[in-house]
Amino acid sequence: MAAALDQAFAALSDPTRRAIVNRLARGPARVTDVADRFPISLNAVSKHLKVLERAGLLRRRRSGREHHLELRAAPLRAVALWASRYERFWNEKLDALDAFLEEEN
Amino acid sequence: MPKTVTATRQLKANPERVFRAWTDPAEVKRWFKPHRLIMDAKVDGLWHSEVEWEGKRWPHYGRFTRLERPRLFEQTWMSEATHGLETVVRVEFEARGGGTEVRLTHSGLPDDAAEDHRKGWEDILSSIDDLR
Repeated sequence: MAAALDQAFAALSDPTRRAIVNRLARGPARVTDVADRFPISLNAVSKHLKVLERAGLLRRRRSGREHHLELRAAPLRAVALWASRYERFWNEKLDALDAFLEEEN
Repeated sequence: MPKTVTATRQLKANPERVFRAWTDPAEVKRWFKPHRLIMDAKVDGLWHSEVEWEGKRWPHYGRFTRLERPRLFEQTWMSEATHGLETVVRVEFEARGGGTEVRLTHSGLPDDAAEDHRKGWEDILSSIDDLR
């Protein structure tokens, strides 16, 4: 129990991982969709995903060849409250900017 | 203790395009989606916006302090959430991988999140319990 908590909080101590969680809070996504959004390598994203997975915060679902990532709802509902208000605000706005610029292409 | 919040994104558009999306009011309206926006994007130019977020309208206002096209801009940022304190939002754009790395830093935020944090701890404790 205590170990599970330590892992969850350690996993959420990183801003990129919190941003990934913010993204997945809006629905499941493919690994590549998540990786595209962050200025780090696919390899680095994979490492972050593994940390979140080990902490029980997300799971992978295979559909055909693709892996979909989704949050495990129970522990993650808390994250929205836990993360700072402005961090959530800015992550949502950056997602909106990303979607706006993508639409244009 | 004032707090700093950071967020980064990798975008496909170039820095010039992304800079414009942030500093041209017609563009800002399209993605930031404020109810109201007044923006004079020049150093010492003022801005006001009303943003709906989590079911509430938040008026914000401030002043541009730096505009260095297309590398960065910086503005002061005040709202009910900052308790009238002049916080600072800096957004930097760096060409990277054929697109742009956006780095946003919001500093000087009042550390009034203690209550939110306490609530968050309680909730995460009980939800982790639910999984057992």
